[in-house]
Amino acid sequence: MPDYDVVVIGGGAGGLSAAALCQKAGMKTLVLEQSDRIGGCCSTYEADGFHFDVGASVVEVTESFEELFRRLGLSREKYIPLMPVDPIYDYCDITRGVRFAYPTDVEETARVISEFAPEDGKAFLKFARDFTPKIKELVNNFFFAPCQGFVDIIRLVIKYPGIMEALPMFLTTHQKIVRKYFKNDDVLASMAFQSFYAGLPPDLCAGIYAIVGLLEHEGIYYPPGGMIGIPRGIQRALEDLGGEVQFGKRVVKILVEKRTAKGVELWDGTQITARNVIGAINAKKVYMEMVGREHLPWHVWRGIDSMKLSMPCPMIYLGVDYEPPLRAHHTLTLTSPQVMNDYWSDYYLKGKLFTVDGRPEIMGLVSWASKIDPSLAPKGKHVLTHMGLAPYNLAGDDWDRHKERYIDEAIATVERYIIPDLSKHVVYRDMATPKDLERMLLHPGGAVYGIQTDLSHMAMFRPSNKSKSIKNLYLAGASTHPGGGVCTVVAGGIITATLVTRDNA
Amino acid sequence: MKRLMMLLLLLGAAAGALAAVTEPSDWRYPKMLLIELPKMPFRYFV
Repeated sequence: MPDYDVVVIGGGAGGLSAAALCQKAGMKTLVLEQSDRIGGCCSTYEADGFHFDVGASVVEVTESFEELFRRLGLSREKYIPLMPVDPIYDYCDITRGVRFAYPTDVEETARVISEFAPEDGKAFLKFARDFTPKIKELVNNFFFAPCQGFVDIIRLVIKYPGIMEALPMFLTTHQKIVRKYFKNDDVLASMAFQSFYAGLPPDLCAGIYAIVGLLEHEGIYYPPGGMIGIPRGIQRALEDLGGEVQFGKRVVKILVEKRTAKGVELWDGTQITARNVIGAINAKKVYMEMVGREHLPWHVWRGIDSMKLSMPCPMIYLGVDYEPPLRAHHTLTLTSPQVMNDYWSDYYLKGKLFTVDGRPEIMGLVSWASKIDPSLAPKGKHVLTHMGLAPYNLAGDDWDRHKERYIDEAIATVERYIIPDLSKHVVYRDMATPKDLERMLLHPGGAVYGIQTDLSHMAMFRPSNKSKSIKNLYLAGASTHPGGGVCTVVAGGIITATLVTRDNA
Repeated sequence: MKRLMMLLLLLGAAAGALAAVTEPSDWRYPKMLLIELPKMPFRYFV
């Protein structure tokens, strides 16, 4: 008799969502988290009285949460209260005196754009008119549907024919779509950077990511107390339903017999048996380290080995002794799509950390979480996080050696483009390099968005939520369908739980 | 042989014209997909 019906490896939002739904379906469920903190990338840590978000800084597409809690028969508001964040982004380049913020309201955003680019203001409204129905179709259907193979895709198209309208967006690029609508360089920069959420520059990212710039106008949210509020809420729901979460339990191996998952083995040799195992960490780690080559057919090994990881996002955590002169939760430097594309080939692929002029990277996103929740910092102080882009492998060099210089250069970049004199107000500083993210969160290559998201790594070409080679093994998290990002992995968790409960009915 | 040369010339001219009106970075997506194409049948089974 196995110890549990379901054992979930990893206490991130995807694993917790799948666990809660399995528990709700009457299966005895255990979540094993290797660290002492819930949430993985969607989490918050405390240092010197400051509370910093580890990775994710807001959530959008809250339909995932609503769907999860609807299926759990619980109140989302009770478990995960959310505060609306408005404006969505403030774009800033003080060297050119350019600054504009996009509010949530689409018409208001068009008005903001019209002030400096009248044609693009009109184009934004057309962009919204053209893509809003596609967004609804995709979020309501594609997001929560399994994409195990051609049969699932055909089934999906038959059930929701409107989804076919979104098909061309998978075949073209993010850059082509935004260039079709917008001409102004600053507007283009504001609509193109979202490709990096897929870990790719705009000319290599599937066009479907162009809708992210519009999705954000459906509303972005922040939970009180930091991003950890989201996984904590799902954990609480799981525990209220009778499920269990254990911390400090690092899984090193998935027990496999005759191509069937039988449980897991922890780092101390403890074995926990289970009818079903859900690997809610990076799929490469699940298959290549925890399952092992000996249990996989050669073509599956070749498939997982060929999958590429998304671009890592180094995180810098700053505590400051004043209220920073910012206007929004998110402030972004403006970088043209062409510069982003060139960065990919000239720096990222070559493993170069610093560009010629000494800047650490081409773009940076500054999040000011204590604006919406002052309790995240001691009185009179504030927390800032800086998310950048950088290669994991440095050409002939090591991240640990460059950590301090990287922080200095990133602060200098923020001073140059967004907050003058920032360095004079920093009272706490730390950083998670791609290597640190790999060590802390077990993301191979520090790739917090999991497997790269281009057409060749999407839907049925992404690691399946139900393993096709190991019976009773399921997967969840950013490297599975539908992809990375907090709400997306929650949707993935829902899909995984649907497959587990269907197979165990 | 003559026909083959003509075909190659025509294809070359078409490719040249297309390259002239297309930004270099526009080629990267199809090129990337072309490189990834042989790997996709294997990924399907993961």
